[in-house]
Amino acid sequence: MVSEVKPTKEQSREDEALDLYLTALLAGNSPDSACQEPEQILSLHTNNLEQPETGRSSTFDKPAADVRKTGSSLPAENPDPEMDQQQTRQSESRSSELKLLTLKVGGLTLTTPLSALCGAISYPGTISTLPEQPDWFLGLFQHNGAKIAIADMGKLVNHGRQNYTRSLSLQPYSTVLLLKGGKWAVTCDEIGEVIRPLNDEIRWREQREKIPWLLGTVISPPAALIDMRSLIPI
Amino acid sequence: MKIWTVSCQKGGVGKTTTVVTLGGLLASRGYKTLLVDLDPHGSLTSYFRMNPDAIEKSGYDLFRAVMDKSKVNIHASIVETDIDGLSIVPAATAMATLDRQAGGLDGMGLVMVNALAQLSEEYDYVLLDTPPMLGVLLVNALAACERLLIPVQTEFLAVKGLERMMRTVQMINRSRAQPIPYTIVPTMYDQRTRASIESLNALRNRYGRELWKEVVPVDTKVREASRLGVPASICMPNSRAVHAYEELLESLLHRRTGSVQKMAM
Repeated sequence: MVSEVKPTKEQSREDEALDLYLTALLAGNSPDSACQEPEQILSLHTNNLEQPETGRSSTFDKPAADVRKTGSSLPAENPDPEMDQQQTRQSESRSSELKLLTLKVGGLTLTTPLSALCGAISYPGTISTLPEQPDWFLGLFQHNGAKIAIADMGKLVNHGRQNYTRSLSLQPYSTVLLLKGGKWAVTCDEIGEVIRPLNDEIRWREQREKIPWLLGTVISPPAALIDMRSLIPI
Repeated sequence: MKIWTVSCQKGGVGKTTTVVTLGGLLASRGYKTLLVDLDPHGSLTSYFRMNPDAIEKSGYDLFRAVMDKSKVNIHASIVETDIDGLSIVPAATAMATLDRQAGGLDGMGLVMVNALAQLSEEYDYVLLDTPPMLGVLLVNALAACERLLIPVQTEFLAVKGLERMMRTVQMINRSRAQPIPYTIVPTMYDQRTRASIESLNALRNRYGRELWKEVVPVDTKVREASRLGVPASICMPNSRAVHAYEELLESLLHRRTGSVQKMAM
């Protein structure tokens, strides 16, 4: 009789992802323990945080003045609003206070809801790679005693573009964004400002089957609006 | 209090029927029984004539409370059914959003364990109905249970779904102090069809020890009971399926408690 099911080689990658998922779910910690206060997480960017918020400029010349406010601006009634377009739209239409962080990665200008983020830190010096992982999965790094998986956002958002290549040794990333939940981080080249677009300044995508992480487009400044959690294909 | 989870990572194999019928049988034997609907589709909830789209208090509130860091009060989510000794925590459609809201949060797989601990002195049995998809809700049900019942429709696709379930159980077991004891329950068995016969043989060959020795036969009376919104064990007590579930319950009770039986007065 065989009651044990041995995973095939093809299943091992899926199993590793599931293991990560299940380990987090069944951890005895309190739900938010993995998500550090942004004030702590952003300490490495202190020099970038001294300037006041500059409004809705489209430039990336100035650092993320409002990123320090990430934690305090997390809406308590909606811990993950970027996950659901409708939810986000409702939230936005109710409060007109949808805050988006602008960033650059792989030559693209993007925005993402601030409420999805724990904060930002410098690109870690040591990343433990894992065998047989997809090219976007860079490995794990230690942060505040926790192991955090890091994804190459440049590869993820440029997936399907055949001419996109990037050597991390020649073009290293400068920053990683820590996602809420404390288990994932994504790379980026530059973080910009926090903007508060008005209703008619966002074009929402109604059909997101093909590119589920692309929520829509911000008109001014022009940028793709992305859902970080959907971006990571697990 | 004993907690049983009824789960299989394939839809339409008889999960809700198993929960309702075993729940009805336990209640009729005098056991105070709680059914918990963790499937956002809310089949179990609908069975008892509640609308998961417009439910006021539900299992969703338990998860929401944990996310909001407020006090979890499972008592507020319990609804008494018309059947003596049988209560239910209904599902809300909003539970479908839980994975996106809470899938990355540490400890969210233990919400039910902690919530059900509040009821340890109040119920004899808790039966958890689960969605077929692996996610926060299924993980909660597997983390909380002391026994897992896996209904498997005796047809080839369902047997495949069982393999997926077994992989999930293996992975969950890594996080548990003790592996989940489980019983595979062949359902909707039709002895007239080759598919049923061959599927059952395949199950016996592969999962002999954990496979329940009997089968739940295909029985239209179960569907009729569902239409009436009453457990088949109560409104169709002489149906073939109910007899099979009685046998199943007997085997489970003896497996767990030996001769300790709490009979209805």
